Parts: sequence; structure tokens; C-alpha cells
Amino acid sequence: MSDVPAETRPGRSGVLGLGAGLVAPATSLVVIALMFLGCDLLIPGFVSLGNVMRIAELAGFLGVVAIGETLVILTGGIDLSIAWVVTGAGCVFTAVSGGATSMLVPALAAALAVGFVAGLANGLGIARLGISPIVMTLGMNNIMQGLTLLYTNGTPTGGTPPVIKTLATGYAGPVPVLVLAWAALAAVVIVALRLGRGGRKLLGVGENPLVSRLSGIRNERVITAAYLCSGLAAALTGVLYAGFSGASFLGMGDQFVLPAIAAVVLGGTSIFGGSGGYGGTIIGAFFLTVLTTILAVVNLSAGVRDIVYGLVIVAALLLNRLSMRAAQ
Amino acid sequence: MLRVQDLDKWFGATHAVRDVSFDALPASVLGLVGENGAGKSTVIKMLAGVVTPDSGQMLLDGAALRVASPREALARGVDSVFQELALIDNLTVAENLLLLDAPQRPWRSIRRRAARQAATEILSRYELEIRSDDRVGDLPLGRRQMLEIVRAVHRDPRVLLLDEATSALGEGEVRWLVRLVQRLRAQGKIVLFISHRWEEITTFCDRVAVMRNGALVHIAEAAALPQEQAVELMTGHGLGDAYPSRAAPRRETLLSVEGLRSAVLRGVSFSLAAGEVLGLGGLVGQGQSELMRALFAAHRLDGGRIVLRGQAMRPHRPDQAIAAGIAYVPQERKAEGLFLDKSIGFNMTYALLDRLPAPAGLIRRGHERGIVADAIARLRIRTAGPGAPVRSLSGGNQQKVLLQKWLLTRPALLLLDDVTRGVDIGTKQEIYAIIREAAAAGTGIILYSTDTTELVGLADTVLVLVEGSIRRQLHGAEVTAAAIVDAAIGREAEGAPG
Amino acid sequence: MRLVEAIRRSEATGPTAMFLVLLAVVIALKGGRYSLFDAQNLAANVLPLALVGLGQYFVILVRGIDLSLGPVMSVSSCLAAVLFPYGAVPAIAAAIAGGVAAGIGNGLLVAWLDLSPVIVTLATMSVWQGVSLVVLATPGGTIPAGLQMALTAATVVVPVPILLLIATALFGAWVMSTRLGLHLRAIGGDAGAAEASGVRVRRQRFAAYALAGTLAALGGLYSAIATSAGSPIIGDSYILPSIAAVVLGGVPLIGGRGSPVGVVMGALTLNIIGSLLYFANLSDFYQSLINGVILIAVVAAAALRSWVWRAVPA
Repeated sequence: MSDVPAETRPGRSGVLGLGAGLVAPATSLVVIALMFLGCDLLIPGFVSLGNVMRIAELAGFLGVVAIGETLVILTGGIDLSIAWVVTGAGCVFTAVSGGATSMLVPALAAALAVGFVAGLANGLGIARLGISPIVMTLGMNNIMQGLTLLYTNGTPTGGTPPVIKTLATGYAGPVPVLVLAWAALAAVVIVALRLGRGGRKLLGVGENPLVSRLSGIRNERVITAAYLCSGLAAALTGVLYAGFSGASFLGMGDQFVLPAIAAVVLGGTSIFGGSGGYGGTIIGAFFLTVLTTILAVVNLSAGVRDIVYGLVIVAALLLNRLSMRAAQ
Repeated sequence: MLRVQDLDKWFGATHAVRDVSFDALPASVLGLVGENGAGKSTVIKMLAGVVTPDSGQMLLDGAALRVASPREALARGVDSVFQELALIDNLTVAENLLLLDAPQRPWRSIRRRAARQAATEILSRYELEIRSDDRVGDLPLGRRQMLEIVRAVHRDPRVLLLDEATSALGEGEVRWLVRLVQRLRAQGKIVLFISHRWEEITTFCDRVAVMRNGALVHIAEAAALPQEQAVELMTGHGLGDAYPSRAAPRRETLLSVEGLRSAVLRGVSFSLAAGEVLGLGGLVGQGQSELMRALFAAHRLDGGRIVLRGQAMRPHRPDQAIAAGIAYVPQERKAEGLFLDKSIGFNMTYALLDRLPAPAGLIRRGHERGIVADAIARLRIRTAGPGAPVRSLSGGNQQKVLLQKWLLTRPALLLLDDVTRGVDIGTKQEIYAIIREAAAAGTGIILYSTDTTELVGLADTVLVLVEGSIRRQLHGAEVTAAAIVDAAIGREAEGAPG
Repeated sequence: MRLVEAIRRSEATGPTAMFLVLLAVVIALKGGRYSLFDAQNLAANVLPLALVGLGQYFVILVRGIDLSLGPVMSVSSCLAAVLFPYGAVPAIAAAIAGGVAAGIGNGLLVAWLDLSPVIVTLATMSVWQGVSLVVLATPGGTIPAGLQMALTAATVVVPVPILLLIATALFGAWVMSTRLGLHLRAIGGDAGAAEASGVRVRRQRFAAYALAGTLAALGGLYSAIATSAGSPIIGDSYILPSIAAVVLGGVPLIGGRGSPVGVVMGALTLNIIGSLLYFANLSDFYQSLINGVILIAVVAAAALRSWVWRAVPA
């Protein structure tokens, strides 16, 4: 009843709320630069065009799946089903195509259909039935796992048509084709979010669903669309990654869950939704890919790598939170 | 004694409390009155440890009172009851009462029966007729308020702060509170009391402090302060002036409503002409907001007929209402009206998204910028620019942004839910002018205000609501503050305790 | 009758009934042959899930979530397997300490630093996964067979696993009967009101996560002893089921209410459904599928029920 402002989330300033939100990606950029420098000292010649491009290529896979995660987190939700949507779509793709170019289109359609159905189910469950995103997507992850196991009978088969292999591993001059494709996709996503009607609605729904609804927005449609995109993005990543490895394998999607979500959050998008964008996610994806690369190069055991990776993300989250508090 | 000296507080661009000083004496009740946004709640919140003052000091019995949290305030003996109850709905009455000190066995399990008995004892000591094992969420609001008050009093505080603690209490319950407060007085306690109901101020308080725009403008014995003088002090002008003149003749019927029924509304029927301003009066919480929300599909209707511009309609979702030409400006602008962390421009065009020119789904920025700049200039919104976040604006300017957001949708019917709440005088005048302008242009307006003077100044017709139904309809010259208040408190009504 | 009234009001009644019905179905499918030995096996199988489910319950009660509980189980499982040759005491102590440390870590990050539980526990999940791999890279290790017999097959009046299961339920019930339990329910119901009423919200939230880590560690420890081997991936298959057990136990994800005994019943139910799969002759591949479907179905059912009664917010 008074005009004391409610204490919600840390406030932001600047155009379209990006002022303080730039702190996180800016910090990430600085850290990336530092990491590159550090590596160059340890391993002279580390910072070469070839290496940077290779890192960009790896970051691309993460970047594509993180498109969906960005949209979903902007609505205030989360998608924990990407692991087995990636794997499922990858397995379907290789099985249907069998490596033949003639089967490229049906295989692609089938793989994207996997992502479409999973994403749509997620969206409907979350937006229309009000199921918590954690439960819905976690459950969907399991369902996709079961369906994939049944479909492949435990052993994925098939191969990838040359076109996809080129897309995933080829080079156009010094630049990997995948990076070019990613750049094109990124441009579309960024423009859609910043300038598109849908992007505005997404930001509104994420920041305050009640205000959004009372402003005449159909929240359920926006949310369902976000999860649909996430499913499609994950499916696309499955196809691309199958192209990269030449075959699909069970569990190929597991490596994307934590990095995708971390890339979004470390890129400045609030985990509560309503602010942020894909530009930050791109930086976050780079940051995490550089981290993974360094960990691989330094020759640590798998276990130690996991520990360091997790700790770095925790540290980055802390830094993020503290710097946001300071920016208020 | 409780002494407050030069308390000052800013919230962003709003100077909420300006150098307020006063004394509250033991064994007496000090009332704090003022319009919404005058700063009374903020002062109370500073005493209760919810808000920290920017400068100034508070002294309790000679010792400095520095409280950084509600817990610290409680430790110093300052207890408070706010309108937003601090009760936990999914727990029982006993669990809420004994939340911190439930009796326990040696192995730390709570002794349920002993707790229930202790709670029952407390309830009966304060004459509160509810059961210890009732779930708090199931109790009616009046009982919950009484429970909250009992909880605070039971902690035996030195100072009790009651901020709009009576909003849901019926007559019998108010009498209960009077007895309680008299007991506290007899015990030498200090009580601060905020209420919008003048009869309560005169009933409960020994002295009254009047606040306006964050400053304390007057303090006097309650008996020595007549209501008209208090209103004048609160609003800064006399009753009846400072409202733009009404001239609009009645035009064709815009809206006709028959037998609206819902969980709160009981058969509401009325009609509204284009260009007419219809005021909704009555005590807080009698269904005024629900009525407007029902027309906007934000409150579920169980039955009734709505005819807008000759078409029968029943919107099921707000977007349908908007498409039919209805706009609703909600009461809680921060929770329901605006995206605080988004820019002015973002907020202003949000209800317009599907109508803005947008080839391939991409909004034409130039066009949008033009609309926003135009609106900011026309409404004289004081801000650094269209990109500034709404959070940085003063309450009045925020309200202007919210209003403009809806005016941009060019509604045929504009529903205004307490739009001058928390808004300074100058901005209120500007809002009144906007309302008059919209009415003159043919927009039908339904307006709810807790400020009777405002209703009288703005409305052509007033419907006084009591418990979800229309108690009286007042037209033209019949619209007076006295008539509204009379109908609202229903002098012929039964006084059965809620 | 007071007892009847207590049963009617208890939140554990629904889940218990559900479990008993399914148990009856299983018994019928086995042709009425259900011995104490079968019950003992069931208890031994369910105990790890019951423990980690109870931990998840405390966290969900305060509107949080802990996705790292699976790897925490793996850590304690591996620590036990590696340290048993040095004695039972150091092994068990280390295993439990690991869980406590994990719980404290999560608690600090979520309760004191206000980070989002989802992303934090996803990150710590990676950390604990790594720790378990460092301690024991592949399933194995040495756990005295005697201990296995003692904890899974022995009988002290009643079979030990059943005793332990009952102890778990009782522990949960005891915690919820204390002031801590009351405060956890308060925080889950309305953290703001709880804070305003003097509850030390941060401290109690922290306690919930610490408790969760400890219980998960106990679950991992038992699992290692029961299978006579530690495993760095044992916890992976417990993450979703831990949430499912809570949900099946009648606890809403927004927290604030629910019975710990119900959660144990939920764990039992989940396990029994696995048995039914066996009878239906469905391959293992269906297990995770069914778990996912059950989780979504239970939550959807609750959502549909409130959707039917829902009025557009006024």
C-alpha cells in the first residue's frame, strides 16, 4: 500500500536494460584474453589463427544449442532435455541417412522432427499445464533417452552424408564452414531478439509474466515457441555433431548441458529471465570452449578436468553476481 | 517515549520522507494520516527495521534506535503489523504464533499438544475466536489481520506500529481492536496508528500527525482537528477545488453491464455513456477492482452480460478485451503495470506490439521512437531519455508512463484502478487533465479511487459498492463526499462481527 | 477416533496407499508368493533412493533443487571403496564427510550468496563427478563382504535393510517435528513472511542443503556396501528418481509442505514400478523412459487438478 519499491532482482540500467548486463560478458572477454595470453606463455605459438579458428569451430556446436537455451532462459525457464534431444536427433539422422546424400532431406527432416516434438511437448507442459521447467525438461530428457535406446536398440547405426560432414568439418579458406553458418544463425537470432516483435514479447514474459499478460500478450505462445526453438536447436546440434564425429554415439549430448546453460548465464542473461541476449551467450560459449581446450591441452585426467571446469563456472557465477551488486 | 528526528529518505528520484520529526508518548496512540504516497508507511518501515533512513535519528526511551532488520527491531521491542501480513499461510495458527518458541521435548521434537494449548490460551487471552489448528490460509482476511495483531501484541513490545492494520476488519472486529488498544494504553505502551478511515483515527488516537508529500505538516490533539481541516492539510487544497471543470454532455451508450456475478461481485448492473466518467466508491476491497478486472478478463466471471459498443461480449483473456477496445490500468503499477527494469520506450509500446508497423516481424524503430518521444513530451515526463529504465522515475512519472501505454492503444473504454496512488500533487493534476481530455474525446472512463474528494471532482456518476454489489448510484449533483461516505459505511447496515 | 483422524490428515497417507496397492499387484503377479526375503531385498534396493530422496525433499521443501546429489552419492561410494582397506571407520567417516562438504558448498552458494540453485548445482555436479573419478576411476575397490552381509542380509529381529528404511523414515519425521522442520515449511510457504517473523531464513536454507548432501552420502555409502563395490557413476541414475520420489511422495515443487514418510513411500513406489516392468517383460531400456513419464505424469496430474479449480487471478 505504500510506494516502497519491492525488492526483486538486482536492477539494471542503460538502454534496454543492457548497461549492467554488459558487465558479465565484458568480464568474460577480459578473462578470455588473459587465458589466451597465459596459454601463449606456456605454449609458445598457441595463439595462432589456426588454433583460434579451431576453437571457434568447437564453440560453434555449443553456440548453436545455446541459442535455444538462451531463449528458454530469457523466459525464466530452463531446458535440461538438450542432452538426449541432441543424441536422439543425431542417432535418427545417421540411421535414416545411412551416409547417403539421397537420404539427406528425409534424415534432416526426421532429426528436426525429433527436436520439434520434444520442444513442443516441453513448451505445452510448461506453458499450458504449468509444470515446472526443471521437472518437465528433466522428465523429457529421460523420455528421449528411453526412446533413443529403443530406437537404436543400444547401438546407433548409420553415417553422415558428405554435405553435413563438410558443414561440420570443412573450411572455406581460413574459416571453418561451421563458423560461417553459426555467424549467419547468430545474426538472425540477435536481430530477432533486439528488433523483432517476438523478441520484445520474450523479454517481457521473462521479466514479469503478469504485466505481460495484462498487456495482452499470449504468454503461453511465447513460452511454447521458446522451448520449440530449443528443441530444434538441440536437434540441429545433434546433426552437426554427428557430422563432426562421422557417426552418432549414445551420450553424445551429455557434454552440452552444463556448458550451454553456463554460456547463457555467464554471457549476462539473468537466470531469472527478462534480460540478456544472444551476443553475451556467444562470448560465454567462447569462454567455456577456451577453458575446455586449455584443460585438454594441459593434460589433466578426466576427473580433474571436471573439477576445474565446475569450479571455474562457480567462480564465474560468483564474480558475475558480485559485479552486478557493485554496479547497482 | 519514542522520538524521531529529521528522518529523511529517498527512493531513486522520489523524496519519500523529508526531515520528519515527532514524538510519540507512552500510554498514548499517535495517528499518522496522509494520502497514499505521503510517506507515512515509509516512516513506519524505518521504525520497524524494514527500511534504513538516509539521515536522521530515532530514539526509544532515550537510547538510539538503530535497526537494520525486522529482527533487530523486534529485539528492541518495536513490533509492527502491516497490511501485507507476515503470516505463513500453509501453517496453522498455533504454528504461526509459536514459530520461534514452540515448546520442545528433550530430543527437540515440538510438543504439539502443548503448543496447541499454549496457542489456545493466547487466543483466548486476547478474545480471538479462532482455533489453534486452523490453517491460516483458510481463515478470512479479517481474522488473519486480527491474528497478526495478536501475534505482535503477544510479544509484549514497547512500541506497536499498526500500518493499515484494520483494512479488512468489520465493525465488531474494530471494537475488539479498540479494547485491545485501550489495554495497551493502560500498560503504558506507545502505539502508532495509520488508517485511511477518519472515524478510526478519531476513535483510536490521542494525537494525529498529518503528512503530505513526505513532510510532516501538522500535529495536534485528535479532538482538536476537524476532518475538513485534516483533508485540507493532507491534500494541500480545500475540498472541491483544483479539478478541471466538467462539461461533456451525455452521449450514446458505450457500455452496458447486467448482473455481473463472480466470487466477489453480486449482481452488478450499470451503464456508461461515451465520454462519461463513472467513479467507483466505497471502502477498500468491496469489489471495485474486481469489477474492472472482470471487464478486462483478469477476474473470473460466473455470470452476467456485457455489451460494449452494441456488441455482446465476454472476453476470456486480456488480449480479447484489448482487441474490443478496453484498456485497464492496474492498481499495482510495479507488480502489474510496468516492467521496472525495462526502458520507458519498451514499456510504452508493449501493449502496442501487434499494432506497430513491423515488416517481417521487425519493428520499425524510427516510427516507434517517434511515438515514444511524442508521448514523453506531451505528458511532460521528466527523464533523461526514452532509454532510461522505468525504475529510475518518480512514482508520478511512472504512472504517466503507464497511463500513456494504455492511451496509445486508443481504447473506447478506459478502466483506471486507483491511478493517483503514490503520486505527488502536481502529477495528480496532470493526470486529471489527461482523464478529462480522454473523456472529452469520447472515451468512456471507469475510475476507482480511495480518495473520495477525487471521485467527487472527476466523476459524472458514482457507484458506491458494498460487498460486491451497488449500494447507491449517484448522478450529477448527487455526487458529494457526504453521500458517498454515507453509502460506503452504510449507516443502516448490521454490525455483526465479520 | 484420534488415530483415524491423524491418518486422514496425514500427508503420507496417499503415497502409502499408492505403494501398498502396487505392492499388492506385484504379489498377485508373483502368484501370492512374497516372503520376508523379498521384502528384505526390496528394502535393500530402495534404501539408497530413500536416503537421497529424503535429502532432495529437504531442499525442495524450501523451494530449491539439488541436481548434484547424484554425483555426491558417487563420491561417497568411491571414497568408501578406496578407504576400506584402511579400516571401516576412516572409510565411513570420509564418505560422510564428503557429503557434508558438498552440502555445505551448495548451501553457501545458494543460501548465503543467493545464486540460483539450478545452475549452481549443475556446476557442483561437475565438480563432484570429477572428484569421484579422481578417487576411483572405474567401478571396483574393496569392500569387506562381511559388511555387505551385515547390512543387506542380516536380521536383528527384523531384517536390517527394513530396519534401516524405517530408521530413514523416522529420521525424516523427526527432523520435520523439530523447530527446524517447522521453519523449513515456513520458508517454503512464504520466505518473506518467514523472514519478517524472525525466522533465520538463510541459516535454515543452508541447513537444508547440508542435510541433503549428508543424506546423499549415506545413500552412496550404503549402495557401495550393498554391491560390494564403489562406482563413480552410480549416482547418475539417481538424480531424476530422487526428484520423482519426492513428487510421488506428495510434495509440491513449490515446497512448503509434504511428509518425509511420504517421500520414502514414493521411493518404494518408484522401485516397485521397476519390478512391474520386469514382470511386463519390458527391456531395461524402458526404465528411464518410464521414470520420465511418471515424473511428468504426477506433476501434470497435480497441475490439472488445480487448473480445474483455478480462477483467473483476481
